Amino acid sequence: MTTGSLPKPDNRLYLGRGGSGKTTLALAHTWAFPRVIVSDPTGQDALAEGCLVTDDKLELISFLRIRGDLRICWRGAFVHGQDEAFDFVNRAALAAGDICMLWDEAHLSMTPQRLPPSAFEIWNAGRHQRCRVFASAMRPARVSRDCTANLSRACVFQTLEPSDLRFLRSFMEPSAALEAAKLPQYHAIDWTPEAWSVKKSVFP
Amino acid sequence: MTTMQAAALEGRQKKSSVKLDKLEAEVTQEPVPVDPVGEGEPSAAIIPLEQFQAGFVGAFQIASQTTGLQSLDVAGHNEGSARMAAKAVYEIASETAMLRWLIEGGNPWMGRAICIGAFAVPMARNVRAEIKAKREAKTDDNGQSAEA
Repeated sequence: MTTGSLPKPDNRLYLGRGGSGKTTLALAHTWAFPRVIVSDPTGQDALAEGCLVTDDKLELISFLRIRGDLRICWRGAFVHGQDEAFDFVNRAALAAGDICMLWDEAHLSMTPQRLPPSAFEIWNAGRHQRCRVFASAMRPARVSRDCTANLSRACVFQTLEPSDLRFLRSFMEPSAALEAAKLPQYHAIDWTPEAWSVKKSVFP
Repeated sequence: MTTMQAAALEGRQKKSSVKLDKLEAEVTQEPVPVDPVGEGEPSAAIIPLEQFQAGFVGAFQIASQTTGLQSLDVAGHNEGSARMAAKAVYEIASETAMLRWLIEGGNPWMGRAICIGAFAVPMARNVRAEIKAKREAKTDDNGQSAEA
């Protein structure tokens, strides 16, 4: 979808406990885009499927110079530390442009308050470089409040913790947040600002 | 793709190439990070919650066996609350940079703490036992002196 030549924002949250299916769903959605970076701070095999895997900054840059379809799994946290690796991959994605970025376990790289500067830039202004961000997190309450601004879509699996439900109510209708506590396994609330519904994962 | 779209794409690719060149120059000028762990060894990754919980519970089991104190044994009905406590510690450590080492795999501090504990705990227990024995001996001497 475009407004003139600039695409509309397309930032998404995937929220749910470990094993709920949020990462599976987020990964499935990334396959709709030709150029993808998966930021993988914990080294999960599923995230590397079909990807060029690297933890080296220069190699990441060389991969991003490849024209055409591309999937990269970034594991820079293992070499450079969590914060530096997260900052670098966001800056690299903004430099390259035309990237669908998946922040897996996003809560490990942010506080509930502000996003780090490069993350803030790609989340809020990434569409100017044709970048979009999908963030998956186990604990909604630990996701930065900056992520509820400029949010196009949220896929929320069963959520029971009171603090997590409060986070959901900060941007969802109360009825949707209530529904989140009752979801059966592998079902999620598919929320957009216009409407929401309960769906069985995996869904488009 | 239309001619205009192709031209726009070409323009974006040229801009991105320039930006990647700048980023590359910045990286090549960075000093090589000094790895305190050892030559060529990667920094530690975060261990999964389940692994941390198992280690947390295990540490109490070891402490119980080492000290002989049954209260430290968290198996059975206490294990659930121990795991919840471990989860809370894990969450605090993941949010606090200074405590991140608690949940980093391969970090040397846990091993060092276990070595120190393996020495200090039996030593403390033996010292307490020795002091108690001396006090009891002193009490016996005083008791016997009074009787005499």
